[in-house]
Amino acid sequence: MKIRISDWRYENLRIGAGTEEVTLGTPPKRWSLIQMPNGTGKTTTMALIRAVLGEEALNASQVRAFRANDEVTEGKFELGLLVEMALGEPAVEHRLTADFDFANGSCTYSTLRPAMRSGGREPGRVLPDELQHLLKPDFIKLFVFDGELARDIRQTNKRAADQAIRTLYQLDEISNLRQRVSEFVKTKQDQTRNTTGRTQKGVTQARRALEAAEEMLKRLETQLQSKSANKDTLDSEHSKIRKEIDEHVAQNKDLEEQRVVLDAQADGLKTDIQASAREALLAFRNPATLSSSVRANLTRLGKVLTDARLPKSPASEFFAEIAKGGECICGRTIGEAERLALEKNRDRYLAHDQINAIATMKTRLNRSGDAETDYVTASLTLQEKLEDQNINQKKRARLELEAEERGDKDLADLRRRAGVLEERIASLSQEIEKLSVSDAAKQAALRCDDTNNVPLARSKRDACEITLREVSDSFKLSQQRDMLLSQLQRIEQQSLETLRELIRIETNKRLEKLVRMEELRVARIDGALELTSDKVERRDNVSEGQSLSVAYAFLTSLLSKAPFDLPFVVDSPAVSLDLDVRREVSRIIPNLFNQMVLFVISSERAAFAETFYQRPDTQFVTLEKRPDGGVGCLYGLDAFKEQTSSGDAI
Amino acid sequence: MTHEAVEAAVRDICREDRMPSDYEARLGALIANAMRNNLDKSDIEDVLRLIPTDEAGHED
Repeated sequence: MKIRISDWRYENLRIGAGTEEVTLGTPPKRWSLIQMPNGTGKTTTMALIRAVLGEEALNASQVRAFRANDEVTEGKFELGLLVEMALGEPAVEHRLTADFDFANGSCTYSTLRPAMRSGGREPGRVLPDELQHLLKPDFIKLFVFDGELARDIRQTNKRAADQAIRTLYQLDEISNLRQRVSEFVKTKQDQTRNTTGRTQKGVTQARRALEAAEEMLKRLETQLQSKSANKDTLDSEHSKIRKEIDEHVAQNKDLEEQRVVLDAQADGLKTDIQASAREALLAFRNPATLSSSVRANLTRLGKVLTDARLPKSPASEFFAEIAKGGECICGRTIGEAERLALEKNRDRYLAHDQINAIATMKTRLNRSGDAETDYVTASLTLQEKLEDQNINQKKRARLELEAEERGDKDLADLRRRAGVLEERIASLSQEIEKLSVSDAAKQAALRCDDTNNVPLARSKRDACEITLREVSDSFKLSQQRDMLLSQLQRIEQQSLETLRELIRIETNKRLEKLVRMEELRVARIDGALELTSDKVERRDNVSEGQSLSVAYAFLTSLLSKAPFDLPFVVDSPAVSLDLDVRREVSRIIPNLFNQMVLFVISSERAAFAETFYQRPDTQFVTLEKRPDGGVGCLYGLDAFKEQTSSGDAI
Repeated sequence: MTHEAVEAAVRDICREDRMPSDYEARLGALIANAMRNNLDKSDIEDVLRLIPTDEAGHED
């Protein structure tokens, strides 16, 4: 991908009030030398280019620093870019704009793509995805060159060299990926109920809890099984004794006749009790039968619905009344046309399903007081039947007692044994119920918990199983995360080391041509560039010119290997260099980039800018102060040669 | 250049850690997608799932 700067435009910015445009040629020339006297806005222009490229968030004081003077309230900077996605494809123009509101200290970015069908201005910075992703402030500093970066890439505490490699070759994305992996795992783990036991210890605790729950369940199931078997035995023994008792009673003919009657009664009562219980339950479930006041209220509601003539559409009647009445509820008169429309459309406002639903409600409500037995009656009937059953059992006992009193000595023993068995069966039944009941209300009444009730112990075991699975999965995920994070860190480090070495070799090749007086070389890149030379093993102090040469060599090595062909914009590249170094630099650096925009001052013409005079693909632009405080833009070599250090043309 | 450097690092690390055969390609794709700003959560999940772990057992 090839990116070129074609022009930029100022409006009411620090460079001067009014509007000024700087064009770098059509198509843009390979080299553009923009001569501006000190204090006329070189730094401002660089900052503006970085701001629109990086869509930088500027605070109010940064915005106001761009203001031309106190009279202007708004300003604008527009940067023209030509983006060529692939070799041979036509370049697409993108105009990145920053609109400044100096009054409230805000800045709004937008993009104009004249070639697009929609054509209009879009909010924000809109560039091809690959570029959009890449253009971050740290990256922009590499090609809209920040002079401080030249020093920083050699200062060991700044790590700027490493950061430049990381940014350009997107190794930062591996760091970001590590962050995203951690967040992904955290989100996943937070979704589980158990958020405490993600360690080996947590897994062990969960496993022990499951083992204890399984043990308890097993113990309770064994108890239940044993007690149920015991009860079966006692039930069988009890039936046998009852049979024997009946045989003894049958020896008295009159008593036997009574027993037969009582047993028949008992069977009838049993059936009646079942039916009554069912009826009471049904009544309990029907709100209308619960109490007379509830029933009365429901019936009243049904009557209200009937009186309201529902389900016949109330909407329809409402519109009919309005049509008939001649006046709308808003006070407007209903004329003939409105009346006809109301009459025609009055039935459209209540759908059939709504009508059916209301009809059903009405029918059910009106019938709520009908036939069905109410709860009070049903429960009274059940109570009566239970009392009858109690009386029947007492009569039966009295019958047996009478047989015993007539001299049947064995019967007494049988009845005593039956009594003992009944007590034991009743006691066992209670224990079995406590062990096996699954109804929550009964469990609460019997004070059941997971140490004395099988269903609750089973629930506890199931919960422990889920917890163990969650904790194990969570622990496993933590292990996998740690492994992946470690691998990503090592991959990032190893990639960085490989790239450092490639860049170091490339940088030294360039330094060989740039710095001829001394064999200055990069010994290693470790955060910053460590220099060595043929004179000293470790070269910490270098001249300003050498420092800049090292920076250029490093940056061009970096950018030459990048998948993007970017312009290189630099402020006062030769101002700190002595004339010999300038000649060297001006011989070498023009060939390092396919587009260079160089901001220079008049003193940089000597031995630097003048070396471009013979280069045909060069745009010379001179910005000069105007008497009204603005600046004028002059094109061509003649004006370029004539500017004095004060910014006036000679 | 980045691509080659990262690819070589992925290969080396996967061999060093004796990762399963299909893991290297998945991890490479994960990093490539992250660098293209085209990462999907399922990319992360797929890679994590392929990492073998010790069976979580008793502490002692």
